[in-house]
Amino acid sequence: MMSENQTVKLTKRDKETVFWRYTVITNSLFNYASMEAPSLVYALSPALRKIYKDDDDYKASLKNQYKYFNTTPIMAESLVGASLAMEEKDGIKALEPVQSLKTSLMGPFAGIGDSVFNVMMNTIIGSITGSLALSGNLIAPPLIGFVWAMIMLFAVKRPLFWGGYNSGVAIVEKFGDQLSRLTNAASVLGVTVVGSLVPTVIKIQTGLVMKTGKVSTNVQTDMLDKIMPSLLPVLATYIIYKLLDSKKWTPTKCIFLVIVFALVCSYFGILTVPK
Amino acid sequence: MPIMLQNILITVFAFIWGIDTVGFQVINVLTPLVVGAITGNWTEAITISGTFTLMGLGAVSIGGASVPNYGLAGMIGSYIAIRSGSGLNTAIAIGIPVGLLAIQLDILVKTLMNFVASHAEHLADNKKFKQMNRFLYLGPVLYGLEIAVPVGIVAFLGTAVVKSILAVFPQWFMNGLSIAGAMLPVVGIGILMHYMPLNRYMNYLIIGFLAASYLELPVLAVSLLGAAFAFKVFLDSNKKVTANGTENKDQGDDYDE
Repeated sequence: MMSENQTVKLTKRDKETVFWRYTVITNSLFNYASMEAPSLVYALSPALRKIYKDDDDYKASLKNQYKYFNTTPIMAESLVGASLAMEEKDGIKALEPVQSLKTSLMGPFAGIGDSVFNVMMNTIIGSITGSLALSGNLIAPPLIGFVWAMIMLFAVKRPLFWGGYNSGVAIVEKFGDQLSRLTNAASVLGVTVVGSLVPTVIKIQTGLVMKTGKVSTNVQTDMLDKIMPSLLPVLATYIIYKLLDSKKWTPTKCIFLVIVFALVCSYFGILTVPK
Repeated sequence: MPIMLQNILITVFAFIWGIDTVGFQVINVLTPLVVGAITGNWTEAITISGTFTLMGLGAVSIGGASVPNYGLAGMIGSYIAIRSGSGLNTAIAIGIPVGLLAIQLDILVKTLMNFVASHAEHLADNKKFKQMNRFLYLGPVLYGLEIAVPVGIVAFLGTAVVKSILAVFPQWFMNGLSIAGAMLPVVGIGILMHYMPLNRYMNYLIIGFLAASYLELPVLAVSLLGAAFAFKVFLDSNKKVTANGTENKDQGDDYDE
């Protein structure tokens, strides 16, 4: 049994290993019971083995990491770093603080991380690469995607891990205020881009032609476009947005609704394939 | 490249892709390049994948919820479309059903993973630590298979069968699929709007719309405009930092299941 004050110093390499193990495995052990917890076990296990020479201590530490854990994986990097630092410093005494740090922060971290990274940044990058690809640009879309992935890796995930490791519990004070400001700012950017997606990404065109006497009016170009550009996409967005308010209308049901609606309208010639 | 080899390559890539999307998230951005390299048709691989990227905007898995897998849909859709020499219609006709079916597979894998996790913990209980670490690799393997199995099935049994099935459908049906494909981003955008504090930032939604529809600014320009507003909001919120509690209410996960 190792004495409680005797601390094991991890090498830089040990810590890097934890970072890379977590970053590569991230969510690939996701399950409904303990969610992301097994990924933390996988990432931390070699470093924890070095910290705990005693099998029982090592087991206790692993069991501690097997407890329910769920947050945005990107944000989780800092919690992995923080729990590593705490267990390196205090050994088995750190188990309870590690657990309470993880459980108290995973909620707020998910709130921020999901909206900033999963939803907004992915939408912005996706809409840029998607529309470039459609305009026939072959090089830019994969290049932008790759550069973005590298930025996430080396300018977001890695600093978050080391930030977590270096500040430990202090991470709450360090990031707390900054992150909520960042979320507000990212929300504004996200909402602006979403507003621009409605007319550019959603394409709906009617092929109806109204005949009054000898004059024939193209409903799309002569009527709808004169009222407002992208009137139909705006209406469709509003309808789907309202449908999604109801718990009964899951995204999958909405997808089916759109497909059936498109097929029916195609059959009757109400809608045409947009250019 | 012989067709058999193409099928094997796309299935192997699908396996790696499946692991990458739940983990490293680097290889998946190169999907259209890989599909282009395997089939030899870069142009179509990239343009078709662009359509699926736009369809999937906002349809992101949050808090472990299973959503249609548009990445998978784009991969298999563009592969089959190029292989059978047909266009976007075919890609959508094949891709969307596979992407929707992937929801069920995803739920199955996440359920199976419960047993992986509990057995790994059991191994730790018995102090079989090395064995536990090796056993945990089953996780990525299952997530890889989740993608490789449907891709393999469609690729190997696909093209001829797919072609003959598609030949049966009338023109209005194929047109309808294209119309649906162009409309489908509406669902992702609808979901996105539910995640965002629209009530507080309605003005920016309207500005974004105006910039893109009336002024016809490209997406990158609108992003810069948004970044300019965001910078101002970031500076202003220095004074009055909103509490995290209210923040989460605005952006609550409505679709966690």
